[in-house]
Amino acid sequence: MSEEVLLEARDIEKAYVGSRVLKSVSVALKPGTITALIGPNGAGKTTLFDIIAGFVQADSGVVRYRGEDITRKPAFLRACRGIVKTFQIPHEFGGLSVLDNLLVAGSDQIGERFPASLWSRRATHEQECANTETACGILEFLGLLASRDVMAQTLSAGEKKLLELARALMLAPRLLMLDEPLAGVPLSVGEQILEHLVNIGAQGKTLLIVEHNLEAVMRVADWVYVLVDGELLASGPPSEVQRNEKVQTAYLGRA
Amino acid sequence: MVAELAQHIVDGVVLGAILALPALGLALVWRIAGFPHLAHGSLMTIAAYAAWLAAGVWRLPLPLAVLFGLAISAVTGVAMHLGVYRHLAGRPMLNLFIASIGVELFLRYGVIFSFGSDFQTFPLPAERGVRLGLVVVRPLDLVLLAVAFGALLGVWWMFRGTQIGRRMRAVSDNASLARLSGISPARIHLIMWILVSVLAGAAGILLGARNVIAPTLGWDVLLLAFAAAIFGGISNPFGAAVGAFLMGLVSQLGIMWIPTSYEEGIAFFLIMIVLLVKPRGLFGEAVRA
Amino acid sequence: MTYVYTVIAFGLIYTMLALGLNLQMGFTGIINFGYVAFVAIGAYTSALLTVDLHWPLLAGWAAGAALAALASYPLGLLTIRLGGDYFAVVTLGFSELVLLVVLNERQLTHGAIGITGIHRPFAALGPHLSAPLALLTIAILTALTAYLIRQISHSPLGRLLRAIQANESAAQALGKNTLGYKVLVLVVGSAIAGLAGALYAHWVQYISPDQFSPDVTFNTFIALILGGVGSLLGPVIGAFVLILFLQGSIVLQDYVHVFSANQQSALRFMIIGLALVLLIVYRPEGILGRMKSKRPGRSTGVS
Repeated sequence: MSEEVLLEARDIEKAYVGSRVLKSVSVALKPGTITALIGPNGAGKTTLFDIIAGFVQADSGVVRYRGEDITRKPAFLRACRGIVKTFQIPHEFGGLSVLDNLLVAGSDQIGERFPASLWSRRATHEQECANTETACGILEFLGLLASRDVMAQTLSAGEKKLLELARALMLAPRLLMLDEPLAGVPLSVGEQILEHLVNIGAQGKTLLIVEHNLEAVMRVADWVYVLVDGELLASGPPSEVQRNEKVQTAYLGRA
Repeated sequence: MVAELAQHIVDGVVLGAILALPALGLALVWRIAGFPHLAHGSLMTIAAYAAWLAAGVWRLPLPLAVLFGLAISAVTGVAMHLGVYRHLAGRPMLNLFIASIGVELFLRYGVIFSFGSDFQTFPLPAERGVRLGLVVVRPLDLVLLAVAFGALLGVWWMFRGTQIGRRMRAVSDNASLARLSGISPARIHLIMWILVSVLAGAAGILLGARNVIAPTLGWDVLLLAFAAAIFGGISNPFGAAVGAFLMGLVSQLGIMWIPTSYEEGIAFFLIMIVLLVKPRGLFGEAVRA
Repeated sequence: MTYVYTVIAFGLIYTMLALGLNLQMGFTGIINFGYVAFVAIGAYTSALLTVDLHWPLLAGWAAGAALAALASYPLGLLTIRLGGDYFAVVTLGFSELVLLVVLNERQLTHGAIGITGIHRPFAALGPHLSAPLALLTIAILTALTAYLIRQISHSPLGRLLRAIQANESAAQALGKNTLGYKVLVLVVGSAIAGLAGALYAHWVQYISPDQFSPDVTFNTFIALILGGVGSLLGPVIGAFVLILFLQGSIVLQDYVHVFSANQQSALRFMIIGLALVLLIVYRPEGILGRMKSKRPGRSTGVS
């Protein structure tokens, strides 16, 4: 395994109640790039995405991350190692404030250990201060700082989407996985999110994006995988994929 | 040994047939209304007491008494739905679940309030067991089996042959999809509650006829019925019926090795084993994440 | 006077029970319908160790809490990953199983006869002193439990538990071992239930299986819902309202003779059932409304 690849999923197979959703799909993500996974509805994009994030177990195939086999690792451990995903439908912690949503995401918190949380007050406090500072930085970067004390459930759809992103950034992920980051948000917010993604990518993070909005994806992605009916139809740089005839008939034509 | 085994199998089949009715109902409620219905046992108990009141106190003919019992359980079930559960639709499952405890407590102690805690029995003629090869079968058991199978066939016919039944299956398969396709959930829910109440009532009367009528008649078999429903996978009502027969068989065969006093504990172990092996029940399909 | 003591003692014990259940249900969203099983384990462990093996009282209490916690651990490991509805049914089954064991293992548990001669704390000081002192002990332990819950609630741990309740898969995606935390909460709540059970056994001085029917679980749910699920003060209020109603209706029985004694006690539970239904339908946030701390989880006052 060379250092050229941050994460690799090889020969992934998955079937639900007899129907094969993924048929021996392989993808590889290079460090510091933005990779997009596109395809029509029901192509198996989200399944592949969830297999990489650890929320779904593949029937067969291997997922390797930084050279290590993580196929059987539960989702939370992958997140601890730097593979952090967001959800297509925002999964905010509704009864918590925006800031608290981010503070929950802080890793290795002393105050979350039991019973240590009861007596290591000072250490907890110091960590909370540091995490609050990081969180406010992220909120400012995403333009959410003004609503830091607002209950997350009262946010607009677009703000919730940004909160998803903010919470994921809190873990300083090596691989940030975004499930349809533009779905369900107004155009202006979508533009804003795209801009943030480019900026995040510029900071050297690796991004994997599942997206429906082709035009947007083609603008930001360095590499594109096209998934149709559980099979990899094409892959390559956006310009090349866009010219691919198979892709045009199978996907672009229908979309 | 063989005779004993055969006898336990017969008992298991009879128990399973009776359990199948509330298990089927529990699975339907779980799927369509979205919660494990803790007050299901009360429907059984109330039907048994109502039938006993009609037959034993008012001296009505037995078929009429049974009809009365079924009518009362149907009315109770509809009252639960219209009075309580309907108002909680869309709330978290816990709300419905806890409300059903309240209903259970109210009805169970309502029965004790009205009829006391003493056991009652149906005025049935004394009967002699009939020897069929290795086993002795009570004629009553044959009647129970016939009624239980008849009820299951009736439900099966309703699900396949009638429009309302097919719609109910559609709703139980996918509630949100069914709503999109214009099936009125209100009517489905109402009919579903009548159906499951009558099924539970029938089981209560049958159980009361086989054993005794007590305020905890339904509660005592509720866990077994839950086990059967889980065993079958709640997404498949007929899986629950199959589960009930297996549950009846296993619990009766289990008595051969496990002390009788632990009979009710068998349900727990069966639930555990099934859920550990297959978290969605043996007949439940893998749901797409 | 003894009667007043008993009402207060029961109120405190139910407060403790509601506190433990609140940690599980109110903070984390775990629906434990077998709660009484852990109360029974605590009560029987402490009673048997102190009566049959002459352990000192405090050791019996500690063992009661510890054994209840220990029993919940494997149950949690095996079943916490199930959906909430399955978990509820499994735990209900578990409590029936514990009751069966208590009833049938006569050599260990004395069976249906129950255990008599359980000592009250400070029994050596005579009945006049031991009752108030025992009550004080229960009060202190209940206060300590409430303090523990408050500390958890205001720590990052409490914040995480609320997050898990709000959205478990999101918490997993953020690198939190949610199943582990749920097992932890189950164990801590069970230890509290076990301790409350032990205190109960040593207050009433006699326990038998019929005192640990599922009705105890249901009563605790009612107390918690009365006071407001997820709030900090709710369990205290709910528990005392419930006990005042239960005990008050027993007192009323001596003066009102419309119904037989059996009917009166049945009526009491009918009212409880009805109250539960009405609460859930009309006031799911409790009689006093939800009394949240202003900003849940923001403990350390960072700004």
